[in-house]
Amino acid sequence: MILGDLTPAQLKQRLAADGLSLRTGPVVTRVQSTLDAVVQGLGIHYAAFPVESDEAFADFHVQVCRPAGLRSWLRPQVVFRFDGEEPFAPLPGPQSFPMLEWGLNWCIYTYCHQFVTLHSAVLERDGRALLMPAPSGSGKSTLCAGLAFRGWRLLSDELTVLDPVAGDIVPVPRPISLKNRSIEVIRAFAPQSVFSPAVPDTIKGLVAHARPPQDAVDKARLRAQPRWIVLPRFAAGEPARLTPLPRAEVFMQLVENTFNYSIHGPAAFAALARLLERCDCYSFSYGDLDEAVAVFDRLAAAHEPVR
Amino acid sequence: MLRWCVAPAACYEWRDWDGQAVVFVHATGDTHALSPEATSLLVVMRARSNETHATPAWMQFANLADGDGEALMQGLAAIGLVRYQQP
Repeated sequence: MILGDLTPAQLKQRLAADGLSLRTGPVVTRVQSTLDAVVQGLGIHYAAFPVESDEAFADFHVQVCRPAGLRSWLRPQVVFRFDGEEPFAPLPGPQSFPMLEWGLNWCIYTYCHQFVTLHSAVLERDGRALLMPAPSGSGKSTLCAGLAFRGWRLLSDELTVLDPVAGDIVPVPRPISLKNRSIEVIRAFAPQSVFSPAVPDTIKGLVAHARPPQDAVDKARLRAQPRWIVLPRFAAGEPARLTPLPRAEVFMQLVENTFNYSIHGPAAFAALARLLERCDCYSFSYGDLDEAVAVFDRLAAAHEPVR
Repeated sequence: MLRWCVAPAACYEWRDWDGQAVVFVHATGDTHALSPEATSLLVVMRARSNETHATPAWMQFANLADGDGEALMQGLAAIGLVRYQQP
């Protein structure tokens, strides 16, 4: 069963009652909410995602709801609950769906220590994964969305999940989070993309989520082999340019972007080294998304597919 | 004259690519990228790990100016990769 099999009324009823067990890649999350924006957001973005039975094991139990008290009537806020705890401060009411998305990311990088998790977008072409670790504001999400809507398979716009034993990348495809000008850039670049309403005044500015492409959801169990690590940087007016980077430099970037590096310790060191040894490493600056996508298409075309 | 020896291999993890190493030091849990000079010196020291090494030899090996070799070794000692030995 997929979420889209439910009518809007059934979805609302299930979320308000015992919740819905949503599978996203290797993770099952039981989501509860009575908030319309959450119901609507899940309906838009997760229609193609599998729903597990009520009896199935859920890795995480989360709620997005209004806090108790007068505040919920005066200036409504929302809270994210994880196993009954509230790990974050409340946010303004309109931010309920982004809060669910941020909370789901938090669940994975805080608890999924069977994996090494990196703050990095990751896409796949012909079985090979392209990792893009980069800080916020670098143009990483825009580039990720651009590639995802032009033939690269989205594994995640935010989290690279590395299996430290097998050495391959585990997909966790979910909605693509876009900010500020990127929203209009991607709407124009990929008119077929479906967005939830943009939410202003978040900690990241104006935020909107784009529905992940169908292909990404259909192949969510298909892992990919690491092949490229690219540190992107948007630079208005500059031509798209890939520049090789020394591996030791990239290694330290990976360490900085690994959420659970200190938990895995030497195992993470070994896993990241192994990852790096399978990849070509580049910095990438770009000022135009069409040009950027063409560069990556050429990069992929120059290599044999993984059999 | 200062004399140094490299830490036992079990104290750290080591990878190097294109003449530059990264290390994970077990005692601290810290990861460091070493400069090419430090990498060159440690490659030699690791290959002769039972020996103590005197500063002038490293300086000559890495073409380091006076004082730089000593500073380099002090830096490596601070992160636990080499140890000072009493002459």
